[in-house]
Amino acid sequence: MPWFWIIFEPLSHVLVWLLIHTYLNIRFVPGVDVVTFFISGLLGIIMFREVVMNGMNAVSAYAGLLSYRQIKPVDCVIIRAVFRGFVIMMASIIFFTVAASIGRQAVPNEPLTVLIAYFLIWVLGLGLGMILSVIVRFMPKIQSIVTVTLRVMYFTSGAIIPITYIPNPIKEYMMMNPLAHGFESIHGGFFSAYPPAQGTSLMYLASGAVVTLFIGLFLQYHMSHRLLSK
Amino acid sequence: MITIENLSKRYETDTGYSDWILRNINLQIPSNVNVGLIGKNGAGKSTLIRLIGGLDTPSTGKITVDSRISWPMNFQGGMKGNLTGKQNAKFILRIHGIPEHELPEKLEFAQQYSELGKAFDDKINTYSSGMKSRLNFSLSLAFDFNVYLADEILSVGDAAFRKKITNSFLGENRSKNLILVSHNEATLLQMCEAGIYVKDGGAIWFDNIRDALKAYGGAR
Repeated sequence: MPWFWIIFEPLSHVLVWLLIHTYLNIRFVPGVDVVTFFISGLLGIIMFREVVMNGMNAVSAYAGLLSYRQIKPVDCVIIRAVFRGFVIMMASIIFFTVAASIGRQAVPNEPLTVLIAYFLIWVLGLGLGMILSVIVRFMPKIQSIVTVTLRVMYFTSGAIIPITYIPNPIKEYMMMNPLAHGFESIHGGFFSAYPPAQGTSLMYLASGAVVTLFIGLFLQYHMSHRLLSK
Repeated sequence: MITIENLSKRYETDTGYSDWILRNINLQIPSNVNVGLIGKNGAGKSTLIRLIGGLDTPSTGKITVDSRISWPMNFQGGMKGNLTGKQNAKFILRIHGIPEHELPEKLEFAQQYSELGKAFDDKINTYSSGMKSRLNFSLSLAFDFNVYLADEILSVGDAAFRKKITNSFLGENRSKNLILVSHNEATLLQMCEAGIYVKDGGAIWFDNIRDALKAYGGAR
C-alpha cells in the first residue's frame, strides 16, 4: 500500500491542477508544456513539504531508538530527509518517463540547473527540519503554524504559478522566498521558452539553504542533550 | 571498572533547572561483580543508569568506563514497532558495527535464546512486553559486552527465561556482569553480590547486597 501512495499522492495533485487548468481554459505561457510544468513544480513542493514535516517529527517518531548511544537526534532528521528525497526521486523518474512517452516535453533543456535546484530545495527542507525538530520539543503547538505556512508556500513559491506574470509589488515579495528562486530555475531549466522572473538566482536559494542548514546543525549540536532527556 | 567522579546531574527544564537529581557522587564499580541498584521511585536510579550508559551527559563530573558496556535495557523503546523483530535486531547489530558476514550467526543466536521462534519475523507491534524484553535481552547477549545495564527488565519474562538469564550471569568463570535496577528483593539477592543504594541524590556502595537491602529496608 505505501507503494501506491508514493505515486498516487503527487498524481492526485497533478490531476487536480490539470483539471482546473483545462476547465478554466487559462492561456498558459506560450511554448511551455503545462503537464511538465505542473509535474516539475508539484513534485518539488511535495518533496519540500514532506522533508520539513517528517524532519520536524523525526525525533518523536524514532524516540525508541534513542536508547542506543550510537544514535543522535540529528540522525533521525537526516535519515528521514534522505528517505523522503529518495521516494520523490523514484516518483519523479516514473512521472517524467510517462510524460515523455505520451509525447510531452519532459526532458529538461538545462538538466544540471534543474537537478541543482531540486537538490538545494531538499537541503533547505533538511535544514528547516533540523531547526523545527528542536523547536517542536519546546513548543509543540508550532506544528500547526508550520502546517499552515507550508500550505501557503504551496501556492506562493512558484511551484504551480509562473511568477513572471505576477504584477510587480506582489512579485517582489514572492521573490524574497528562496523557494521561488528554486522553482523559477526549475521551470526555466525545463523550457527554453519560459522566462524566469527577473532576479532569479540559484545563489540566492543556495545561500538560504546553507544558512538554514548551519543554523539547524548548530541547534542540533547544542540542544541534542535536551532532546534526549525525558 | 566504571569510575564515577564528582558526578552531579540536574535537568534543564522549560522553566530553568530542576533540583539536583544526583549530587556529588564518587563511586568505583568493579567489573567482576553483579551490582544491584536500589532506592525509592524517583531517587535517580534510572538517571544513573542512563548516565553510565552514555545516553545523557553529566551536569558536572565525569564517568570513565574501561570495559564494553551495553545500552541500558528497559521496557520502553529500543525497538521500532512497524519493523519485525529480525529487522530490528539487524539494525541494532549494524549500528554496533557488527560486520555483515557475522549477522546470520548473531541473529540465529538472538532467535534461539529469546525462544521467539516464528514470532521473530512478526512486527514488534504484535509483541507482548515480555516478548519485547526477551528479544532486547537476547540481542544484548549476542554482543560480548562486559557490563550489562538492566533497568527493571528482569522482572518480566516467565520463570524459565529468568532462569536462563540467571545462568548467564552467575557462575565462576563468567565474563559478563550486570548492573541491575530492581524493586524485587528475591531477584536482587539471587543475581547480585554488591549493591548501590541511591538516596537523596547520593549513592552509597555496599560490598554485600544484603547490607544494601538492609539499609534500604531500614529507611522505608
